Amino acid sequence: MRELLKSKARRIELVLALVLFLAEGFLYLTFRSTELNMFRLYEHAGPWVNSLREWGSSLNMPYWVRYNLPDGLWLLSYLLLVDAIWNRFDKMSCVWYLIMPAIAFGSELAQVWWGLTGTADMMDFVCYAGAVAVTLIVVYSKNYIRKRIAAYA
Amino acid sequence: MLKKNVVKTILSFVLAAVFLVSACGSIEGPEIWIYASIIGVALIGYAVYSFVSDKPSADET
Repeated sequence: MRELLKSKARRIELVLALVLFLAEGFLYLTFRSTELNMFRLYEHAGPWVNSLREWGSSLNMPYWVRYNLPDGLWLLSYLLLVDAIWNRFDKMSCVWYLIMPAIAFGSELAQVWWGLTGTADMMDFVCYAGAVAVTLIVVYSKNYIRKRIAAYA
Repeated sequence: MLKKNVVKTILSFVLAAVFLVSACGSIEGPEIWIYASIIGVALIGYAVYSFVSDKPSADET
């Protein structure tokens, strides 16, 4: 039962992370500037990207959904995948858990202080912090359920 | 057979590389690839260090 929950929890994390990553990509492709590096790859992808962007321009999405939410989804997706791989936070895994949050927060600070390309935005910090908070909730919930099952076994 | 931690480290490195590239894709300008390359090299270094310093865990001995 314990093993089943472990693998089931991992499968849920994997599927959720992939869905979030695809959602992030979808938001970038649909709403963001074509000056981004990713559009160098997509310029050969065919007319579907243009159709998607035309459809996106007809929608009246809030600013934060277009510009801040994708960054939070990106970080949450990464953290869930790392947690699915390691399933524990220790000396071996801590660097893999912390590297992307460090890059995410670091790049925002670099935009403020050293003029790194991009737009520094307080809502980006909020979305990144939200992604870290959701990951902590997921990790603690998994540990709590595991302990409850162990107590009843 | 590869140790569990080695497989996890390789998977984590591939994952970090994919997310690093995707992060570079979401920024304008080519100079970001220089920073990403530096981080990539540091991650390779850390992964190699993990392999070398990895001792068998209690459940593997």
